[in-house]
Amino acid sequence: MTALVGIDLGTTNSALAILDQTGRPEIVPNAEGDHVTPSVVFFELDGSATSVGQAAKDNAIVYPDRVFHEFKRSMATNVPVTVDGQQVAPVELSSLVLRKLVEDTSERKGEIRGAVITVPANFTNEARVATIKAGELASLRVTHIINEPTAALFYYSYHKPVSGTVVVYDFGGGTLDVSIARVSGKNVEIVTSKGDPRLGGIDFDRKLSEVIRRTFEASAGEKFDERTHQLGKTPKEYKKQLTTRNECAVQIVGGKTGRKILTITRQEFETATATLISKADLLVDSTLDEAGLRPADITQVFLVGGSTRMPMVTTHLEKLFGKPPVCHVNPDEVVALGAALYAGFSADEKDLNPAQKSVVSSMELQEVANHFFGTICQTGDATGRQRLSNSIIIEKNTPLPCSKTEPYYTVRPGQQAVDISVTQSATREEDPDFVRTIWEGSLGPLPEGRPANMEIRVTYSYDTNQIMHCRFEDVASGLTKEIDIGVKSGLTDTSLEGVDRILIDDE
Amino acid sequence: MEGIIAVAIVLALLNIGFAFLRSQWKTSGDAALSARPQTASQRPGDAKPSGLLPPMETRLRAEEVTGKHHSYIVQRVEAKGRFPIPEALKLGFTASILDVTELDDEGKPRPIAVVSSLEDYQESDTTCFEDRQELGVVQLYQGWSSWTSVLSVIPETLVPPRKGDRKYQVNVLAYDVDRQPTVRHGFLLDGEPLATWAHEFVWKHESDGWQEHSEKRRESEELIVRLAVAMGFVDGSLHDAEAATIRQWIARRLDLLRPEYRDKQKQEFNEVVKQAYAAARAGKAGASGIIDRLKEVGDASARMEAVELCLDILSADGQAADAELKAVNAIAQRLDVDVEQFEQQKDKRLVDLAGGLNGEVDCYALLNIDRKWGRDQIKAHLNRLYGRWNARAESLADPEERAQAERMLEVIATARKDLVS
Repeated sequence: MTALVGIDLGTTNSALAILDQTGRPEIVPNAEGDHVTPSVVFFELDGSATSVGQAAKDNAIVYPDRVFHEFKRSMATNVPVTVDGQQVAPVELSSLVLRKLVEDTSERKGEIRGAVITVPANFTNEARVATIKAGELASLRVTHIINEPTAALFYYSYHKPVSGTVVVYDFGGGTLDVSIARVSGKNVEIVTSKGDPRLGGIDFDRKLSEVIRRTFEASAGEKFDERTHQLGKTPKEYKKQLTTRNECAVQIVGGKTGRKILTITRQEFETATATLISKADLLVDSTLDEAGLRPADITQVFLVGGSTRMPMVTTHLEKLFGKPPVCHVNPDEVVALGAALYAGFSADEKDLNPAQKSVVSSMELQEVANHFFGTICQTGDATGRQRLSNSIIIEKNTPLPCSKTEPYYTVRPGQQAVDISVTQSATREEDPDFVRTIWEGSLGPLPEGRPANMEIRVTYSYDTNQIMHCRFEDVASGLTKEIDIGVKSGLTDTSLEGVDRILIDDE
Repeated sequence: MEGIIAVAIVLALLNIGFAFLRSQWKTSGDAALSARPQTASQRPGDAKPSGLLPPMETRLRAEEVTGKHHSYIVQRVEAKGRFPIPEALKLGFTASILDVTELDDEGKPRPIAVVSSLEDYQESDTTCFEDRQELGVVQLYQGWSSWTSVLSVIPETLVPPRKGDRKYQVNVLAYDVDRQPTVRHGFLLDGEPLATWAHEFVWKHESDGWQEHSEKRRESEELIVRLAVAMGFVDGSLHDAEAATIRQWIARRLDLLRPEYRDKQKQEFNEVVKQAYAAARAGKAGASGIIDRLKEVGDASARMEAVELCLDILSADGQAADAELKAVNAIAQRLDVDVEQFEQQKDKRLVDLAGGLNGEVDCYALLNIDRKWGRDQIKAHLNRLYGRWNARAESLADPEERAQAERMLEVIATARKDLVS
């Protein structure tokens, strides 16, 4: 029987869980015995191999140019890193992390053929596709992708009865997602999700580094230089100390002073990171606004992600919602555990034993469209001028599956082709410059000699696997163009050109 | 909009009416011919029938046409009598309109062209009113024995030179389709119609006429240039990039003009620029008065154009100075432009600023926060801005633009920390 696997491919750490034979999700420790694996890749000096996880992370101080992390933040843009003069894409780096997780698990649990991978709720189509590709490069069949807050809520509702309108506050190493859902028992109905892919624990680490540097320079009278000065621990480790203590002693070695001990207080850290917390508040507020809810309407706030361990986060959330947030599971593991449950939930019945079937049969999930989807058309603006405009066809937060048809018209007589596009945006955006075009092409040739205003009917159908079927039809002639956009088709063939250069294990 | 749709429906009905016209003519023609049926061997014009129709005459008759939402007056051009033809030919009728309200020094009407707001009722290469119908081949001595509607005018869709009570002269021409007379701007320029008739009616227009519109448009453009120069001087001097932006805007306006008008307009623009420049350098740009006047004479499009040009000046040198931001916010507010559209246009410039938001910024100016607002209003405003810029930081493809969007998010978060938390 195939193992049912869920993977949390995180910005700073990743984790893998399986649905065991009793139907219980459990984290599978990696080869080092850790429940989470740092999402860090190190390229060996001779270029012959890579190491992933803690071993790679340990090399960061000595070989900073050969150690790569936080690449999940670049999954949408696919901006590569350079090592030994060669470019390596984020999707390729992610595949190396997945490969380690899978190989470590296979040694203990047998062959893994398919898995559910989680992604931030606001991940763009490109980033979702890139995640699937990363799985494929790691020889893993990705059966589904699921939003991280949804996975977490799946596990929370499995772990303890939940009911009411809840918020999932998923504050990881690199991203913050806020989701609102209506939950009744194990029935999860997502209302909306918003995210900030540029806000996570690593940003707090950087702020703490700045505080340390400033404090050092003020007291030692010399400039802090990373090449000559070395911290006794990583900023992340000092940050952890400040989650339990009001101050920490920071040791700096090197430079003119030789060795210096600084005291950094939690108050200093919180002052330096107040803008980050403010950003997080903005995300919460705008998510509540989008759902048409007030903080008082929220019955529970569930915490997910390691950054929720910072006391200022929990204190702040309690102030914001008027109730303490809930965290009765390990926030680093809950996403992977929920993904494993979802792997069972979405599996064919024949792949489940009676115990597993019994667990997942009582679960229900209603997902929504995570973005607005539209097309570019010509319209008159408020001043009467003709402009290109993004016309929304599928609204964000529409329950899935959904389908919507809108009529558009040719603009001039004798028009023989229509430029067609599929756009994606996180807000109801009309300006084409501010939306992401996820597909573009043309419909034609259209019959000659026709007047303007011939109807072009556009239908978008979005299914529960987050694959969108788009149909563009010239009504009079019946000419149609149909495309599928989603996790199975979004990447161009050329986007993985040269991937073989780093797939060392494939030799 | 509803009114336009309703007019379009009425026109569609009128066109259907014209389709019936020819069958009506055939019936009338047959009635006329019944006095003396033609035979195949006879050539038209060989002999006069005994019951000859009188010569053709025309008239204007006002008729109320009821649409779905409201009624319209239609001035019908009706004709009766024998077609004014020397032989069998393809007969056409056309109606042109001239505004004859104004008189010259001798007290004679000074005819001025009249524009039609409906494309179907325009001359082939101008927007001036014309209704034209062709009847096909008609025979000598044929005609209509009763008043028959030939052409029509919907006064409400006419655009006279100026608003108010306007006196119109409707010139009806009968012509040989194979030798069409040339009518431009309502004036007969060339050719010999078979017959002409003239009728008059008066209509009151509440909206600006085309001359008024044109005058206001020209004044608006001058005001936009004055405002742009004033905007350029907000930080004390007009930089090269700002000057180039204004010059490009003027050049684009001139490109839209016909060559014969271009030189004169160029001189006028240059004169305006000189005056505005001198005034701004002397610290007397008078932006407030310019804005008030522009609000008075400029339509929504002109006002938005003014704001967009000011935004272009703001971003021309790649930096957004606080004073410039404050100025452009105030201009947009006082010109009462669409807030969403303004913010969208402003955002487009802000993402293009190459490092223009580095360093300390005045969040009130950059984020358009009114200092009179209370905490809740600021919070709601910041939430809205955050949602928009967060989405843009995700969707913008250009790394520099994305970085700029992220910088905006920093400013918004800082503003929330300082003003709301």
